Amino acid sequence: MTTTIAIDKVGKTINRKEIIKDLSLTINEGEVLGLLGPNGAGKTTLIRMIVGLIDITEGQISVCGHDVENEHRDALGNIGAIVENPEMYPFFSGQKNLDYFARMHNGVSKEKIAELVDFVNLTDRINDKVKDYSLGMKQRLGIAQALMNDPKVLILDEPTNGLDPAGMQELRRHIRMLAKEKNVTVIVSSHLLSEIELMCDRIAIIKKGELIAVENVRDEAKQVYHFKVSEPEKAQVLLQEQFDIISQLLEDYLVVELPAELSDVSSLVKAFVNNGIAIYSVEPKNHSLEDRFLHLTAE
Amino acid sequence: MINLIINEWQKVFSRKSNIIIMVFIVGIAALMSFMPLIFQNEQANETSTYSENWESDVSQEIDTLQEETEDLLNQDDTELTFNDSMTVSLNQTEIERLSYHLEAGIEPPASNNFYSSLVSASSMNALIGIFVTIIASAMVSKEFSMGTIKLLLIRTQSRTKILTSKYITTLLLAFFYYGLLYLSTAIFALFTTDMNPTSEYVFMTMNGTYEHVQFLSYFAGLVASNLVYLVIIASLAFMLSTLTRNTSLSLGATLGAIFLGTGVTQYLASQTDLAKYLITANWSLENYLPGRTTYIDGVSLPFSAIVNVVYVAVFLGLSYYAFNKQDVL
Ligand SMILES: Nc1ncnc2c1ncn2[C@@H]1O[C@H](COP(=O)(O)OP(=O)(O)OP(=O)(O)O)[C@@H](O)[C@H]1O
Ligand SMILES: [Mg+2]
Repeated sequence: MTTTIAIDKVGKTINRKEIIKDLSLTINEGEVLGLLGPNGAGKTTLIRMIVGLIDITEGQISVCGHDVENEHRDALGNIGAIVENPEMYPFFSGQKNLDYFARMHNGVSKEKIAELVDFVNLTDRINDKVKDYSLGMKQRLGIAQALMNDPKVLILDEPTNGLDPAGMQELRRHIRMLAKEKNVTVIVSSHLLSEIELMCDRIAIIKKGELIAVENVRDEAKQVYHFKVSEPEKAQVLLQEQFDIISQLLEDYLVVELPAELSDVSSLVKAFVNNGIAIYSVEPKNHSLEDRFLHLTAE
Repeated sequence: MINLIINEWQKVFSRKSNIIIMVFIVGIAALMSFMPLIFQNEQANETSTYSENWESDVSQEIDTLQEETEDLLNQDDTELTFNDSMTVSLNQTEIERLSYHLEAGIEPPASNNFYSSLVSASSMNALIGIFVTIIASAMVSKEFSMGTIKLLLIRTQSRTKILTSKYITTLLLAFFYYGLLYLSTAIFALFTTDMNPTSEYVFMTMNGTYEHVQFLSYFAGLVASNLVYLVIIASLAFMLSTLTRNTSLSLGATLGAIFLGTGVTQYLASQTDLAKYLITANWSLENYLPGRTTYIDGVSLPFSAIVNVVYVAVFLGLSYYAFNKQDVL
């Protein structure tokens, strides 16, 4: 695994106020990292430092091996980003905005732009003025703009802001696709775990400018089910013998953690039914990460 | 760099204020050209152009004017009315002007002639300055207020390059507005004025005597000094826009300098010698054109040129320093 972004003991002080404190984090190629934290945690500030909009008070950040302060242009050549809000020129159409930014790069063809517009699903409205766009449409245009230079690193600050559920799912799909197929390293920030949980590999939790935890989503989001069955003890034994699963009996239900080799619960259900165990309910419980997040960020 | 300038140019031309400014400039040029036609008296019409034998025409005209003046002055014992005394003094000036033409052997142009309409258009330069200020003071600060500055700076272009493209665009636009004023003035003047019979330009000096120069060199000097003024105004507004990131503040401060500059400088000059180092005391180089004079002492063309260069260099230096250094929040 190669490291694309290395954040090394970074600190940022504005007006004698420490906004980021001693933050270190490395992000690998093709990884999707979520930056999670409540309002004012310092997510945007960290992103601003990565893209060189503000000075780094302490420590250093490198992107694809280039120091963002000393080798600014080399580092930025690898980055596509939306910082804070997807602001575009409101008096230009979406198309004209993209043409505008294309002119700031070398060799972005007309076809490439059309492809991007199609990718973010804006083809219908691309010739409308941006001031008539909804927030979600601006987000989409922002993403198209960020992908213009085929970046190795994509940084999206609160990209889910303003997206409808369908748009959210689409974004998730796009990000997974970019990471898996094009090996793009992605950073997405949010203050809502539920919105980015499914698109991230890891989640870095920031609070008051400090990195307080980095959680591995796939581990943490182990699939847990609550079973209500007629004979819980019998079911427990069955699970252990047939599937090598150690389950817990809590009150009147079984807490079952699904092992990685099982993709869903259907085989368990089938086994119960075949052994004459009646099933009253099966409830997916997937909130272990969310609980942790709330706990970690609580005052 | 060309691409960056194209981008800036496109942004300016999608702004409503730019359209209004261009319409205004053409409108002003039209007004200035057609005004004389509306208010022209018949007398001027009659004597608008001269025949082949212009010298005798002019001598005759002088005689007529002289007779008219004498008749008025020799009226029996009554006091001269206001109108009469106006005519007398106007005739006097006209006689002096025509006599100078005769002496110098230069055929007098029509009263409403092409050269003078070009020269008087330059009195609109301060207005162009105001328009340039409107654009220049938004140049950098508007990107901040729209939030688009982030999208400009997270690309591989250096901040210096971005700022340079903005400054060049500001200057190009100032030249464009100025060019538009002159182009439309010239086109209108072709219809509303009589072409001058010679390439000489005769003008009255500050002490009331007449002199003549080649029109083209006089006009070149006028254009150059107007452009210098516009460059200074543009640089000032541009610097304020970059430093304060506040469009209205930059606009207000620069317009203040344009409107109050001369008055304040004159007042300060009466108090201290140091006033001559103010940019406002030096930015009107047309004061050094033949027949004109500066309103404060101790300045000269080379002095003003140096002061102007130093100021513009400082304006730009501060702009580049701030734009490169400051955090973009
Ligand atoms: N221009 C500024 N001057 C001083 N402090 C600032 C400035 N901008 C932001 N801050 C402070 O920096 C801290 C972090 O802000 P930041 O915008 O990075 O938070 P965030 O995590 O992105 O929050 P949000 O979820 O609301 O976007 C906040 O405490 C904020 O008050
Ligand atoms: Mg933020």
